[in-house]
Amino acid sequence: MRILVRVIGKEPNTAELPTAATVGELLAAQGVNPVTMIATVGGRLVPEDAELTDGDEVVLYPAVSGG
Amino acid sequence: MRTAADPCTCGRPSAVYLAYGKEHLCVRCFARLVEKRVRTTVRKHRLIRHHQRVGVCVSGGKDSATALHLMHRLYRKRSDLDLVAITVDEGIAGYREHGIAACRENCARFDIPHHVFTFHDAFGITMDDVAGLDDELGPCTYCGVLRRRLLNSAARELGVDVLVLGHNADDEAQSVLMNLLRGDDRRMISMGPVPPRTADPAWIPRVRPLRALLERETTAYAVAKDLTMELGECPHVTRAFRVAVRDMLKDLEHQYPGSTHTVVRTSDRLVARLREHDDRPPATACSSCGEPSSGDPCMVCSLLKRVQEKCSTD
Repeated sequence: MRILVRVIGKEPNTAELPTAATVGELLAAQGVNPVTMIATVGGRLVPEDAELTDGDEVVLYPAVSGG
Repeated sequence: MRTAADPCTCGRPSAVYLAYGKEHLCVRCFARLVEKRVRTTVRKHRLIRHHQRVGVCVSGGKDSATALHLMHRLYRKRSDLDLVAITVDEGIAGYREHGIAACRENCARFDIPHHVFTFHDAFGITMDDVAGLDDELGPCTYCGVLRRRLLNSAARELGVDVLVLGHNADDEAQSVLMNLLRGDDRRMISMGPVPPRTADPAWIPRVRPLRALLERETTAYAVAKDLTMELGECPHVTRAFRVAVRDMLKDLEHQYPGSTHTVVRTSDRLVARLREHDDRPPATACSSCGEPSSGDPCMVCSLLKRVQEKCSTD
């Protein structure tokens, strides 16, 4: 399935994931430590074990200090 | 999107998973937990007292936006408390103006007076002037020292009794580990939930009510409450050591949930012991600027002199 990923402050990208992949698996595929990101899907906060469906748009908010 | 594997204990869909407590929480229960934890921190350590003017330091980032919202939410009905927001404009083109705009939006939303103080007005320089001038100390040293001074003098000017910082548990744990790795036990003494007692009224105490919240929790709260925030990174940031410690802690927190809170709690116990044997000389006034300082001249005067010397040799 295809997921649109928008990391705040960066260019959006598309991720190809197996069916029923979770937010945590998306983060792992993007090489991101889940502790450092907060995810929303459709504007709703979601935990790492939330399952994604084809066409979802995931927005990731960096949870790291910006200096 | 399908629902999460486990819902919140109240039955609503989970929004946040707290790995250290193995707990799924919906937005509502998560917000309640955050608010309870901050209220408990403030009460337990008496960070804010009756009839105080409280200055919330806001940068436009997620942590200070969350601090501002929480102070408003928890204390807006307290007629004896007076909230005011303070922003320091270091003079970083293309960065700070976005943060100031975010601060203005949040302050307007919560009807909190907002005051901006600039490095340029206070010291005659900007961080854009200083960055690249001194590779040995780096821009973050200048920024940190000057910002602390300006916040203190701004607080005095505004009649503020206590300054609220948006430091979270990650910030605290990073500072603890940095002090340990540098062997800086004296700096450890100034840490902990309660600022060290000082008789000098020129020094406005700074408190950290978000220190029991992980950085990802302050971020999630800011997102849940739809706060305006600037998530960009300062173009001058060079804090290589802090970044290394930060990344190490994030990895530890991922592999061993609860590590960050454990570092902070253990440090608090150690700081209490260290303070029993605090033999540091009391702060005096800088003979040059008259501000409270542990050394003479103070760090601000030393750094400003250094800038002058660097500029005159260029």
